[in-house]
Amino acid sequence: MSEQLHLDADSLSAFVEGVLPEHERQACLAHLAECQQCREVLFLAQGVVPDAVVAKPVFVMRRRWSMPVPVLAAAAALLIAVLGLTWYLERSKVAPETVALVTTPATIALPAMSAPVKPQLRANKEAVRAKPKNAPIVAKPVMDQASAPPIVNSPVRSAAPQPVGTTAPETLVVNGAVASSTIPVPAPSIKDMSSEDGLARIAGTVIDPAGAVVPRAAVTLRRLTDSIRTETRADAEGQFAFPGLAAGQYELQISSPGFRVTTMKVAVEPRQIASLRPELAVGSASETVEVSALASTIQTESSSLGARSKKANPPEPRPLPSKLAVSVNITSGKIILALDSASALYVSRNSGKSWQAVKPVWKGKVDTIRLTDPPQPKTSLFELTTDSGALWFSRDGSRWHAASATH
Amino acid sequence: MVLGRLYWCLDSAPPHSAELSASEHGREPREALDGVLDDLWREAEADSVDLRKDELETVLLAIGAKYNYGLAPGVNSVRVQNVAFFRALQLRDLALAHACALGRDTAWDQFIARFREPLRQAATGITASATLGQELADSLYAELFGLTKGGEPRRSPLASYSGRGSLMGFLRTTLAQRNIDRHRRTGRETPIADQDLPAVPTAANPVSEVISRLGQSLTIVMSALEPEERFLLSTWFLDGRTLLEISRILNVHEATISRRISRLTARLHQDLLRNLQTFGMSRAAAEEALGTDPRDLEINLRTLLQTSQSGAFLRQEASREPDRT
Repeated sequence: MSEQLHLDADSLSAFVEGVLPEHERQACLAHLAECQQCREVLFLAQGVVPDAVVAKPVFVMRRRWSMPVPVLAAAAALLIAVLGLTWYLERSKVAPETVALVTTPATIALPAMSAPVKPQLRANKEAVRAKPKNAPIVAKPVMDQASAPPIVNSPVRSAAPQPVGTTAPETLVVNGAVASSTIPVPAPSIKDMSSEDGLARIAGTVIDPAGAVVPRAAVTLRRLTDSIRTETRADAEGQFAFPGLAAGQYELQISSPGFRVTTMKVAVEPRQIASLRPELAVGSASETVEVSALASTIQTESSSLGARSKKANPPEPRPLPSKLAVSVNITSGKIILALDSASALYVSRNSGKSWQAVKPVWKGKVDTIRLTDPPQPKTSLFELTTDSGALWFSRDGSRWHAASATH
Repeated sequence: MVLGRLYWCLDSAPPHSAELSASEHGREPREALDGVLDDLWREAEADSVDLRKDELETVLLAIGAKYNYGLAPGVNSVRVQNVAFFRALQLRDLALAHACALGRDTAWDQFIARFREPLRQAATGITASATLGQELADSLYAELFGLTKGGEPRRSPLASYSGRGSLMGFLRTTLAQRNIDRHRRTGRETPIADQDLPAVPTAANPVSEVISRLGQSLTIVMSALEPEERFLLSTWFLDGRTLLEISRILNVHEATISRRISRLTARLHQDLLRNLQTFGMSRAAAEEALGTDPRDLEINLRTLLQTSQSGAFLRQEASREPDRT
C-alpha cells in the first residue's frame, strides 16, 4: 500500500461521525487497516483517551464438562424456577402512579452570543420575536402542529466525539412549564397516533436561545430501562417526534453544529404526549449541557374529556421471533416495522402483540427503514434502504416494491 | 470512482470550489436540484454568507456526482435519492465553508465567531499543550484562508468539505492531520546505542516445513478477513489501542469490541487449524504447529496485516480514475 495515498479529512471526519454509506465505510476500514498514519490521525481527531485501566478481551477457555448429569439437571430446574418466579412477579407488578415531574420555571440570563444568529420565521406559525441580549428566558406552552414531522429511526451512530481539553460539562436549569398548565386538545394526527394503540409519544421543537427554531438537529431518544436508542433528525422547522413509545423514562439528546449537546430526561405514561421545547445553548458540540428539568409539557390526549378511569398499562411489544435486539423500529398506527440486529425485518399489525417475518424481495441487507416523507398512504407508508442503496416502498410493511416502479 | 476519490494526496491542494465548474459535472442532471434548490439555499442560510444560488448549486452537484448521491458505485440514483442526499448534508456548514473558500468576508466573520475558540480547544487537546495548540490553530487559519501565490487562484482546504459530516469534525480531523505531518517531519532519529550486534550468518537457516506451512496458512487466513476485522487487529495488536478507544471509533460498546476480538482470534485459530490440515497435517500436528514460538516465525505481522490486501486495493485503484488535483 503506497504511503503517499491517505484518506482526506472530509472522508475521515465523516467516518468518525458515522455518516458514510456502508460501501464507503468499508472502503475506509480497509484503508485504515493498512495505513498506520491514517489510523493515527483517526484516533487523534476522535479524541485522546486517558490511559485508564481497561479490561482486556476475555478469551474463552475451553473446558471439559465433567459435571455429572443429575447436577446439571438440578441446576437447569433451579434456573427455570427462578426465571418463572421473576416473570410472575413482573406480571403482577402494579404500575407506578408517578407522573412526569415538572419543575417550576426558573429564569437565567444567558451571556450575549458572539455570533448573531438569524432567527427563522416559521412558515405557517406564529412569528418568533428575536430576544434582546441578556433577556431572561421564560417558558412558553408548546402548540402541537397539525402535520407530524417525518420520523426516521436509524441504528445508533454517535455524534461528534469530545477532544481533550474541553471544559467539563455544565448543568443549566432550563425553564420548564408550570406544572398546572393545560394544553388544548391535540391536533387530529397526534390523537390518532396515540389513541389507537395506547402508546405514548414524545415530540417537540428544537430552539436556540433567541427562540428561533434549529432545523435538522440530531435527536436521539434512549429508553433508560434497556438503553434501546432511536435516532431521528428534526425537520426544517426544528420539529421532531417519537411516536409509539411504551410508558417509562427516556433520555433525549439533541445536537446541532454550533451548539452544545443537550440532554434531558422525560417520563411518559401510556397515552400521554410529551411536548418538548428543548433549547440549545451556543457552544462547541464537544460540550454537553444536561437539562435538570424533565418534560416541559405533558399532555394527555383525553384532557378535554375530563377525568378518565385508571387502566393498567398496555403491554409492551413482544420480543421479535429471532430473539435478537431491535436496532430500528418505526410505527404507523398499529403497524410496527422492526429491524433486528441481524438486519431481518418483521412487521406487526397489532402494536407488537405478534410479529411476522417479512420475506426479503431485495438483494443484500436492510440498511435502514423509515416512514416516507411526505407520507403517501395510498401508495407507500414505509421506505426501506438496502446496503447497496436500493430503495423499496411498502404500504403495509409486508409487500414491497422497488423505487423504480413508483418513482 | 468513489474509492479513487477517497485517496487525495495531502500535499496536493484540493480544487477551488469555483473550479468545480459545469465541465466537471456537466454530465450530471441539473434536474436533481429542480424545485429544491431554493429550499436548500434557504436552509443553508447561504444568503447570510454571501453565497449565491448558482454557486451553491455548483457545489451541491459536484458533491452529488463525486459521491454518487451516497450510493454504491455503478448504482443509478433516482430523484428521490438525490433530494434525500442533499437534504442529509450539513447545509449551513457547507455554505459557510465554501463561502469562506471563495473568500467572502461575511463568511469569514461568521467562521471566526463560531470556530475560533473550538478550534483552539481542539488544537490544545490534540497537541496536549496550550502553546503548541495555539500555534497549530493559527497555522491552520492561514491555510484555510487559502493564500495565493503569484496570480494563482485561491486554494483552501475548506473547498474539499462535502457537508456529510460536521464542519467542526472536518476541522478537527484537519488539525490532527497537520499535527501528524508536522510530527513526522520534525521527528528526530534516536541515536543507536552502542551495542554488540550479532554477526550476520553466512548461510540462511533452513525454514522447517511446518513453519513454512504455518506462514502460508496465516497469509491465507489474514487475506480472507473483512475490512473491519483487519482494522480491529491492526488497532489492537499493532497500535496497542484500548478497547475504549476502538469502541468510540466503531460506535459500539467496549464489551462488544472485547467480544469481537476474542471471537476473531478464536476463529483465526480454527481457520489456521483447518488450513494446516488441508496441507496434509494431522490435527495433532496442526495444534502443535500453532504452539510454535512466534519468534521462530519469519513473519512480520505488521506487514501481513497492512499489505495482504494491497493487491486488491491496487486493482480497485486501477479500475477507477484517480482524482488527483
